[in-house]
Amino acid sequence: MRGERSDLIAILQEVQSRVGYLPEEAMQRVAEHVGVPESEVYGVATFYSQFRLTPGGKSTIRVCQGTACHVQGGAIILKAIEDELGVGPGGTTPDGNFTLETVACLGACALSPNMTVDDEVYGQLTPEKSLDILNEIAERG
Amino acid sequence: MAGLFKRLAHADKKHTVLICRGTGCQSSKSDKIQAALEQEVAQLGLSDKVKIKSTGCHGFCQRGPIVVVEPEDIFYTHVKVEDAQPIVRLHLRDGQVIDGLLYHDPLTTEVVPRYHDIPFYKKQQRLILRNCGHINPENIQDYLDTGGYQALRNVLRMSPDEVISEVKRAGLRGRGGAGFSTGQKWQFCHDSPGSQKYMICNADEGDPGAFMDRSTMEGDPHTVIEGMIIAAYAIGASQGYFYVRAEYPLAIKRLRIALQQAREQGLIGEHILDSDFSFDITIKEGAGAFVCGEETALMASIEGRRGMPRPRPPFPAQSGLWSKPTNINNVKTLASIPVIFTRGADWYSSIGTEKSRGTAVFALTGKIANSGLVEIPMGTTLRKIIYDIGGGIPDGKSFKAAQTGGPSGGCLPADLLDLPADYESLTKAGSIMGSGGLVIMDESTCIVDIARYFLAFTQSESCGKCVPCRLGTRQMLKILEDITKGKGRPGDIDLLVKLAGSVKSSALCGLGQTAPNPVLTSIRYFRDEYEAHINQHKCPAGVCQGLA
Amino acid sequence: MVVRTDSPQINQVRRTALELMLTEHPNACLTCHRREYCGPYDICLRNVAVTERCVVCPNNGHCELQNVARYIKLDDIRLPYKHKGLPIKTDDPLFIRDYNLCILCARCVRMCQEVRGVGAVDLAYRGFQSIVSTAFDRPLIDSGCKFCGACVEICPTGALLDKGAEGLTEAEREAFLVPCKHVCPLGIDVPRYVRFIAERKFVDALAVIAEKTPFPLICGTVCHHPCEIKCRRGEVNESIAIRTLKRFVAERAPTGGVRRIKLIPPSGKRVAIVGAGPAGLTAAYYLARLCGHSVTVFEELPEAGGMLRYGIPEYRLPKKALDSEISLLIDSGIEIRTNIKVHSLDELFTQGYDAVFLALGAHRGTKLGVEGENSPGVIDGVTFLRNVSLGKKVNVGAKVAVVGGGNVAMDGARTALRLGAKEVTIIYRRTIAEMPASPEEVEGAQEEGINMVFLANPVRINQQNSRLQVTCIRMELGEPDASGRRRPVPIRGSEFTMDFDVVIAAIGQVPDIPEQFSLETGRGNTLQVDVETLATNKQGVFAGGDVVTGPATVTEAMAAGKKAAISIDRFLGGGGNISETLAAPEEASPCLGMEENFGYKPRQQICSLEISERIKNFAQVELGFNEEEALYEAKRCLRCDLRLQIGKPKAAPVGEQLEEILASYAR
Repeated sequence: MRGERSDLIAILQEVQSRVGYLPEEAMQRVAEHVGVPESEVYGVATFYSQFRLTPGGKSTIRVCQGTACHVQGGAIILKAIEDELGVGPGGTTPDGNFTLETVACLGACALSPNMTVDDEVYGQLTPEKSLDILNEIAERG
Repeated sequence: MAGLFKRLAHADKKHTVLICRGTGCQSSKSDKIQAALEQEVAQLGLSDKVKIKSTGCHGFCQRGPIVVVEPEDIFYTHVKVEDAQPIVRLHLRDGQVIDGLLYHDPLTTEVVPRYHDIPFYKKQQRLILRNCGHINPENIQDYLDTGGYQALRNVLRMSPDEVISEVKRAGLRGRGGAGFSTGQKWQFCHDSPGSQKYMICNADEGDPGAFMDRSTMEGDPHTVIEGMIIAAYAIGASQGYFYVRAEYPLAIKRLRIALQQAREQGLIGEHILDSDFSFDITIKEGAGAFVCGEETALMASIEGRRGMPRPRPPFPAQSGLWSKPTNINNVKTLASIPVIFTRGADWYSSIGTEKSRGTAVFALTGKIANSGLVEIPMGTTLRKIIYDIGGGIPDGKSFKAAQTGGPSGGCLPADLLDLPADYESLTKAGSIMGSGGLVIMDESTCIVDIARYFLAFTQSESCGKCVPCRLGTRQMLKILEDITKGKGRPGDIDLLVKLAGSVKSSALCGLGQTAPNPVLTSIRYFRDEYEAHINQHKCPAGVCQGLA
Repeated sequence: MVVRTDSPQINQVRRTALELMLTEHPNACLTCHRREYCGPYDICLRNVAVTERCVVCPNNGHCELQNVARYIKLDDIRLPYKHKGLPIKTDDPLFIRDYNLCILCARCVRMCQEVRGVGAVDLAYRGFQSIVSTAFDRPLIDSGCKFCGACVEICPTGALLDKGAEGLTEAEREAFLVPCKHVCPLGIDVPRYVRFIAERKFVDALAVIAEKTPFPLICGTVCHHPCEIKCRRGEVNESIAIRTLKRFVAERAPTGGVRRIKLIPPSGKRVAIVGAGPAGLTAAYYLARLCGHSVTVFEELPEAGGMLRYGIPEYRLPKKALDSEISLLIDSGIEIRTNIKVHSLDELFTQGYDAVFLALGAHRGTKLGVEGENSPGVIDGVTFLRNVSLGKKVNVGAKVAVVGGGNVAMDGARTALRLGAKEVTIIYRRTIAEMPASPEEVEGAQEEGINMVFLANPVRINQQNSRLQVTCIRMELGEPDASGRRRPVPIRGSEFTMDFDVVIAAIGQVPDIPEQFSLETGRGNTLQVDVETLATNKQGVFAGGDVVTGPATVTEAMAAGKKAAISIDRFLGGGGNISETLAAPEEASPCLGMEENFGYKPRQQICSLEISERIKNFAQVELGFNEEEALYEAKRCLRCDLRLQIGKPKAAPVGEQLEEILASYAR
């Protein structure tokens, strides 16, 4: 049973939502299933920001870097979180709790600056507020 | 203004309480507020008198969480979970409005209790957003009750040619940013030979600072769906796709539910409303690439490829998805269609200007008192949008610039405040209408930094296929970074302008062709800021680190 | 619609685009006036760093980027170049990939994915981070690469290069890239027939081979396969079994199946060929069939074949196979007169022959040069093999020694074993690494249980009763000699003796040339000839094969036969054209398709007789391929010739050329 080429991205998204990232063996299998060379699957996976090829932390923080958030100090929020966690965008904390990423725009511009942690959106942030949220999540475990 | 309780005439009338469940208010836990209200209502035995309804985004997220009480049309802002009790007891049971939760106009400091009196809403003409905040997007019956899908019924009695003529007469232009005549676009696809055609809704709202499409899909998915079915009918498509960016999970969820419900009602699928027309829609998620908002990149993404644009011609109308004739429209364009087919093309074309008809939705954000979605007739001046509706600049600061069109647009200075918001005027000023983002900046924003910010964005989102975009924007960004770090050199401005010109004229797609716009407009209108950075190593707004 | 390709604005855009590309690519070569003329020891005028590769860049002078720069008359570059510091991949077989020179034109991606249908590489990442990459940056062999070289062929910069191809001229490059075809003495289009086999077009494959030789089966059985040694597949894992594939085709689709249509009117000339060995028979074929001459071959021995019959044993080349190939010659009207020894060349001319080709071979065994070499029981190798082939009864006794390390020695040893010897020992003065015999023959001898004593040489043979006592001395390897192999040096006082019944001396052969011929001879008693025409010092007399070169190989002798045919035809007033087209020209499909683990597929093992079965008789040891095995092996071929089908980009016309074009459009 073969898959359709047009389902490639959806399949990769599903794999990533289950495993947290795209393991090499999974991508090999997907290539087989869809009937495309592995290099093409690799090319697609590395093109879109959503896909990660290495495992991430328990929670993913996405700090919005959209225009409204930028104007309202999104860069300051990002810096505060970077300093606190000790990792830059794309990095994962050594304790494996958090992966920090930036995102172009969450669409919650009227509540800028924003960030999401996994699927929860947090708006109208200040550096202190953002750190409080992260501490709370870390405590929750 | 303290402690004014208004007694209302019909205290024991039936009430409907609308809780906003859009992404913005949701992030402030509006679901908990809804639960608290429901619990309180049940406890007080008011269930047969009070109906609690979730709605989509009102477009005024800054004031959220928002709760509206019908039929008095009372608009509560910044509602918290603790406020659930007072709302139910004091307002719903005792008929007393809670003053502390009412809207306070930032300009006049007046309290405005009624939804439709609030200047932010009163001065808008909401057509695309007509249902947002008033209906439950997860219940098709609400949409039907407002007259939904009547447009579709009207359309199915017409021929596709007639439908296209009507849209042409209405003068609707693409709201995705290009502003091409929608009717003409449908005509091209309709005229292309071939039995398999595709209809795509571009819901990859990638412009940072834009959330109109999100609100529309979350608040009123059926209006977009209805528009899409009508479009498919006009061009002869049997299969449609929603391409929604992955960052909008709530919109995707609402669309799924809406499609399911529409199918159940026979509004999508085989033999729609017992006609000969069959059309179904699949949702495709984006995976984090701004360039996939570009038509050909979007289609590549649906085909499961890297989202890299291709040269045009051939245009999607002739050869698009899997080389078949394809028509792509923006969410707001499609949301306007049902209005045209219920109120009529003549009525629709009476709104707006001669060349830009109908309404446009702007996402008014940044340094503005009333931040949110503003829908106004085309041609409304920027001054009116920013001051009358937006309430002006808060904290006593003064207006510096208005950025339109996102990373493809430009910063317009104060002396252009009377510019009408329509396609031609904005393009002539060096910016573009774009998807509708409108970011306001005050004196604490550095324009050079903004230009650098936008270029950094387009650089990171560049697909990399063509040299002008991949490498040209990189060189421009390097120069801008040097300037913001105080390392700018004389001649840099001219070099920027020259590179910008080359990139604009030779980039393969819209991303590259418009990426230099923020730089070019900021140089055109704010050259002195550049010169201050380069020649005096000063950042007048005090933003750029390391500079005085 | 008017399309303008040359306006100031367009040129500005071109310029900027190129300049932007050059911020990522070394470009000192574009603005320095010396450019491609820098010698290795010239001092760089601009102090360019090694990472900018101006003079060491193999593409300098034929780089497409340089062409473009010249076309738009780029004279200065304003944006600075910064070395990217990306990896240079040298671990893959055959190709070098230098990411620092890639301009992301993605031609290689399109070629690999769309044209070849393989998809070993694709673009990865996005925007400025984009690279052309295999999945997970794995080595090419793990990414489905089929090493066809198409990507290297179309890369416009030096980002993809062939290993070892630096500094080659155009002609040299073709020989380097398709070595099998170019190293074949007969010039057989190897990639073409292997492709036909892979496509199951066996008759077409045979036709391709038959275009270059009248003896496909013989070549497929005994050729020394220089093609296999050079085969580029060997750099990936194991070379293609080209010879065995040829044999498969020759056995499967008999030569009679190839219709040779060219009809040549008789020339009226007569040619005498002395010697019906591979050189003589090949020359006979071409002179008779393709030049229209009347040919008579004189053979001293009872049957035609030369070394093919009287040197190579039955278990290597069955007489039946040989007979069937030779019979085709006879069917085409060539007269072979056996049991006739030619004594006088003048006699031949008197008889009316217009030219003579001497293909005498080298049949006189070299003497050992030791005391006792004339004892009974000491035979020379070629004589031994000839006697066996003539059907004479040869007694080998129980213990046999074979002195020598070449194919004659191996043939002699293995033949002795089959004639009943209990123990056969090869004595060779160097080591196994220096043995000139084919590796397959050495391996065959070892498998059959033949002993090998290395670094030893006989110094004396004593007759003891009916046995031969051979005294040998140990050797060690010293300095290299003329052939490049290390010279063996005897170790004083290391003598030892071994007892044998028969000693076969197979240390070399020389031609046996009748003195009456009065021809110039040279080293090793070989005939001296003109290198181009193969003409001897006597007018009308030509020579080729072992008689000229000393003992060599079958295919080289056949090649000499072809050369002689051309030369003799010209001498007789003809055009010297011996080419024939037997396989209709067609263009190979550029699509190769994906194949899992292509690079790891091992060479097909060639079936041979069980060792226990072999020495009982003279049955052919190598069994060749069946159809399945042949298809598998043919599909392993890298198709090195396919990349030459890709057209070269037209160089942009500049200067005079451009003016001419413009002038033709002037009104």
